[in-house]
Amino acid sequence: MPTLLTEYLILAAILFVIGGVGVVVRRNAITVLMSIELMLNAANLTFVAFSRFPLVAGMTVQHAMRGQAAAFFVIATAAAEAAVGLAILIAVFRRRETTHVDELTLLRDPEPVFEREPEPVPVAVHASLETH
Amino acid sequence: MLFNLPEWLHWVFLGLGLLTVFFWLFTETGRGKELRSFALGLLTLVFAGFFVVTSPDARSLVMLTPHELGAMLVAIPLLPLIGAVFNGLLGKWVGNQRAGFIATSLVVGSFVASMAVLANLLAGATEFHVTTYQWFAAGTFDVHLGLYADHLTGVMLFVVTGISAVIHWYSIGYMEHDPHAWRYFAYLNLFVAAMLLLVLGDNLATLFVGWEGVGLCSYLLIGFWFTDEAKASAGKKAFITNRVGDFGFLIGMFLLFSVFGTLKISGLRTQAGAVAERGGWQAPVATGLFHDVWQRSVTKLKSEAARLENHAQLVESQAALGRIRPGSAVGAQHASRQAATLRAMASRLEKRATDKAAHGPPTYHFLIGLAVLFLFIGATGKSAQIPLYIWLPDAMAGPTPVSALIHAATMVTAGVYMIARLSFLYVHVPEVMAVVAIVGALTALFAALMAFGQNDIKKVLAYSTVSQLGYMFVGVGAGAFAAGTYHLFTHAFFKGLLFLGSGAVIHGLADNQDIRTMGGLRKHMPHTAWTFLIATIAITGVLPFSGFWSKDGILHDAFESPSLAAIAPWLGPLLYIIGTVAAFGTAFYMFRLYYLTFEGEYRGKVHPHEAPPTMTIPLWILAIGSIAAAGLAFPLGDSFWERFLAPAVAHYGPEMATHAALPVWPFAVAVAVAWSGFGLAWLMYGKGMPTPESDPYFLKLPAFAKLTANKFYVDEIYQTAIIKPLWRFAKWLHKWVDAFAIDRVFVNGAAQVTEFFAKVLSPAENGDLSRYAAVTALAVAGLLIWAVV
Repeated sequence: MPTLLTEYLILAAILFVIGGVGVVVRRNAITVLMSIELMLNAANLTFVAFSRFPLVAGMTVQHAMRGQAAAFFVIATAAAEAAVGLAILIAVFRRRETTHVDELTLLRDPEPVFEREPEPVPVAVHASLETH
Repeated sequence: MLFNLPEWLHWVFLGLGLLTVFFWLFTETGRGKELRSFALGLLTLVFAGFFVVTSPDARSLVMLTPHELGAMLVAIPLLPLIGAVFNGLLGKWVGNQRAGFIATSLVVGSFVASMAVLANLLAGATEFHVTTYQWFAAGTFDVHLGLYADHLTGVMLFVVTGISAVIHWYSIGYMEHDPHAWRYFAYLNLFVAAMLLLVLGDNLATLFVGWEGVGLCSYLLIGFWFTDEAKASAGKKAFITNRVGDFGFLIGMFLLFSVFGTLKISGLRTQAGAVAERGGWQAPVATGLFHDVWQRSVTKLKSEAARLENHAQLVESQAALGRIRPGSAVGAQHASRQAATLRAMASRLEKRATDKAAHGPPTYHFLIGLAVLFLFIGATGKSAQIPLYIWLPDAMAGPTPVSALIHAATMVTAGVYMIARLSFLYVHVPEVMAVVAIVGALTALFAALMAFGQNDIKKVLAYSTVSQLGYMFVGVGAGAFAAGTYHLFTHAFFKGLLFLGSGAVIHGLADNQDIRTMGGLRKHMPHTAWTFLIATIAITGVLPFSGFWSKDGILHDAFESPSLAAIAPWLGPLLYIIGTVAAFGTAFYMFRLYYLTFEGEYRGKVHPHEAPPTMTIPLWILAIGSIAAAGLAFPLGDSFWERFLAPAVAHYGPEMATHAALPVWPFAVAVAVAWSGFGLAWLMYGKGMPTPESDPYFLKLPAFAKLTANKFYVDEIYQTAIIKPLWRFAKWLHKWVDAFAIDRVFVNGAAQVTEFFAKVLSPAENGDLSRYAAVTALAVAGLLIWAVV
């Protein structure tokens, strides 16, 4: 039986997936941040939807309002995250002149190391045993 | 009082002492004369010691309280140990000669303390005991570092500290040109300390520390000139051969501990006495590990049988109640069959338990016999008996004073000492005593034969030492512990003297050791020649000298030994014959050595010169000792020596065979044999040899001479039978276990596995944030699905 809650949840899922795909496929870091906002807002939407249409019958207002409160927390966190993220981006741009995430690969080891064969363990006694 | 030497004797020593003091004070002093003044000082001390020991009045002055005696006992091994530490740490800076003086003085101090202990023993005390501190404890096993002196120890203290002092002194002259003599003196002092710990240790664990310590010092001193690879490997050979014996010693100690629960010699003696009191040497052991294991296995078998019996009853009662397939004939039959099987098994176990209980744990006789046999294996290593004697001739690579002290006079006698010390165990196992005596007799014979073909002066003496140690083992193996240790005592003097004499010869001939190129040295080095002759006569057993009394005492005791007769009546006479043949050999090779070295014309090139007084004075001291030691064999049949040692050693059987009816003919035979060996040597070598190649022994008997010169190819046999297979095994281990399994599979293999996974996984770490985010998202989605579905 379709209710209003289901539709809100479907919308939230669509928003979340759009945001997630945006985080994964977009190269511009600002777009990535915006996608993250989208995902957070999808979460907010589910909070608010559950608060408005509780699954348990007879839930008190105090209980129902917890979802709304959580949404405010998320908004505040998202604002802080956006501020810090943009600040980092500006700093990165000043230094690297780019905001494309696929160019920021310093975490990777620049050269693959396991190219040569490992040396055998040098044991001095081998030589002395051979002489006898 | 045990001590009843003539009254006037102490006046002689007083006079001699005053004479040396006089010389000491009034001879010219100055540069280059320090050694002589030092020597005279030492001689004074020695005479003062003898004076104190022989004088009744002075002796009462040196009677010490138990407390003072305890301090003396501790000081005896401690002084040389201090010297070893001091010289080892600072010797490089104090200088070689001063290091030698320090080492010698400390050993002399130890000698003086030993003389004090000996004086108290002579005055009638039986034993002293001092416990310093607890060394370690594990469960009921508790080892205190205790020192213990009884009459046997007193004798050994005299031999060890006395000969050590003389040889330290001699070493100052012998090592004067060596740049590392300080190291030598540190080792030598350490050796004396370890040997004294071995002698004084009141339990086998402490004794074993000394036992290993002397082995270590022997190794260090054989390889003292380690830059010569042959000498370094001679040291290794000595050490490794001794390890084989030491392993036997350890097993013997474990067995003793598992039976008696203690390693304290006094404790072992008490317990052995208690067992003998109960008449229970053939009875099963009543305490200890073997008893507990036996008891536990009997109990276990019994309880197992009871459990099976219960189970059978349970099956039957269940069947009676109809719980196994109610009403079924097959079920009831099955149950009764099962119960019968269980009953049969239970009764089998019951029978085994009763058998085991009736059979009992191994007997005291068996376990203690095994223990002392393993201890004897330890003794064959340390005291160079068949089959582990092979290291001693090679040990001659060390400096000659070391050969004299360690490899002739003291360390190699540790095995004889150990057996005499544990005589209260050995006497209860005549089988093992017979083994000891047989091994000793065979060693005496074969080593004497091997000495025939040797042309290195020290090698001849080395085989002679092996042979004489064989005599000592015949003595202790025949139950004649006093005779065996008496030979130990006299041998320490004359063999030490022979080695020091050979050292003087080698010193005087610029390191030539080949007797074929010697000859006629009596004219050039008279002191050495005369003392060497005295020692030769002593060792061959020509009548008035000490070797006659000790060696023929052993042969005589072996002939009449009650413990050997208990094994087989012909065994004692057989060992007597073997010993007599070996005595003939001894006379022959010793006089061959003497004639080739000192008589005839000089066949070498270097101009020989007599040794300095620091070396000749010790020679004379030992020569006097070689002659004077004979005095302890008197009065015949009930000698001073035997009475002195009687409290310290056990004897086989209820009553020691009295020497009242002393047959003369074995002595006559022994004298005749010794003289005929001497005569043969005189016939062949009396005139010396014209050229180094004209040895009549090698010309007349080429095949046998070659055999003896090559030591019956024993080294080669060991090489083929033991060392080569061991090497092959070691190489196999190296190739497959070390190089393949450990290096390739484990070490490099672990690295290669890690590397493989690293290669596979490292592309994922590409620094692409989008990819990370995608992987994270997918993983979270996967987790959610897994958690929800």
